[in-house]
Amino acid sequence: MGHRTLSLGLIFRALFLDSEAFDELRDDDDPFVEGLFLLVLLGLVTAALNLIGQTLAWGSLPQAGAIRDVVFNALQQQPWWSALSADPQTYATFQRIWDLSWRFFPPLFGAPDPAAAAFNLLLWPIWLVLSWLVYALLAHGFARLLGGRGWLRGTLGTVALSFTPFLIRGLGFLPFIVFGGVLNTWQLILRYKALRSAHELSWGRALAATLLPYLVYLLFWLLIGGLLALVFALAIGGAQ
Amino acid sequence: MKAWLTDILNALRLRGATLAAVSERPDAFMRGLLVVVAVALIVGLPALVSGIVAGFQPTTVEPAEAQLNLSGAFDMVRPWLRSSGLPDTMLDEIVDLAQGNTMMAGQIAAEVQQLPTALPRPVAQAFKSIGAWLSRPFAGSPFPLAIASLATWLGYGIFVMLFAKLLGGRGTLHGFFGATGFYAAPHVLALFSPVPVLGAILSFVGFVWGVVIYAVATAVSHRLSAGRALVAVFAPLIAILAFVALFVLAVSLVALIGGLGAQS
Repeated sequence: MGHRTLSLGLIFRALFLDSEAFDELRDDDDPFVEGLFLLVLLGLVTAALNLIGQTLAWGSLPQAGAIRDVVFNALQQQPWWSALSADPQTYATFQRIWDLSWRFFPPLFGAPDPAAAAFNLLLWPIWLVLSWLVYALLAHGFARLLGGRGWLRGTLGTVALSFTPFLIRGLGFLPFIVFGGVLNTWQLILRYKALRSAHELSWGRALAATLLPYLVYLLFWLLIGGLLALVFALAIGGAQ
Repeated sequence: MKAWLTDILNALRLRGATLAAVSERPDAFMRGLLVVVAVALIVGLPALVSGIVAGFQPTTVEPAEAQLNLSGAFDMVRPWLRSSGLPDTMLDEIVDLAQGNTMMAGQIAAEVQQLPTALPRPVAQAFKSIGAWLSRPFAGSPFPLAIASLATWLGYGIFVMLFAKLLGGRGTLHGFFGATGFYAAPHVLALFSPVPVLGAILSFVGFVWGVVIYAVATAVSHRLSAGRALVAVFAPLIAILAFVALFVLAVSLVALIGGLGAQS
């Protein structure tokens, strides 16, 4: 077993932009294992705390079924309701869209769901590790193209520390907290520091190496969107 | 704690030496972050207290009251709709429909508030208020640096940092963010924002004061002249506004060309 560099102190120093924290993990004998350990632990702990928050939020709000009944009763009192319910076909279409909407929209608008939050115990560590590996590999490639001299394992170690802002998601044990995009912005700043530390690049090149993987993500999602649109268009064309 | 409060007082008095000293500290980022978070939480205290107190009171939203509040808004919209060329009959239908929907929304809101929850209502309300209060430091800002929030401090700061570097700045990331975090201190004046007129004036004073501290902090943390620091602070805003203006112009041109094409 190698020397353990990772500690709570190191994590907090990285979170608060201490360059030496990144250098220490870069120079560790096995930054990959340390990074992997950090991200799995981060995913598990924050998901567990979030599960508490989701359960409390679920207990603080009326049940979705009861809200659905209130809305349905209000709709039935509208002047257009009698016309809608008189036609069985229109009513059946309405009922289908209504049921689908109540399955689809509440989670989309952040309705608390302890079952989904429990699933995050599995999902968040996997998502963090995948996100770490994909970004680190892309950023390492760009950094090397831009003249960086770092090793991949050093990049993996320092980039793992850039995920420390997600520690703040642990505050999610208190319900109804909204973090917005701040943690991603914070992570972007730490990714720049991670690449600068791993590759000893100038600030301009480090910035380019930090941002270019996002360009790859954008192109990837545009490609996926384009393909989906093509499949959709072909399906509609085939149906007609 | 005492040293940190002294730093805040000195920043409020625009003492560049204090901000320069903060930017040199290894824990600069944490110090700036604490100012932003502390001010955001202090400003949110009245809403927190009133939210918790509301949990012990019976629900007060009445559908008729909600409709009454919005009937004035419909009256204001009516001339605007008329000027857009809509015939009066259609206009009445639109307003009637909107009023009916508002009435329905008010009725739904009132009934949902009465629904039982697993946790007692005061506890549930306290959780909602605490959640909203703790979310304040993470809230988005309607305008760069307009409120004490991590989103605008970090989000806008990235662009200012970039321009400062392009203008020859020699500051570090943690030093720059640490010093500029003190921009949030005057935003404590937003505590008075519920007071009519005076609240708005004091909030505006806090905003301008904060921008001045931000500019001084940018200058000292990057060792830039005042002129260059001002360019670094305002260039991202000008770039954003120019981008938005170009986008609106492009959309307007497309709509105009489309409209002319449809007419011919």
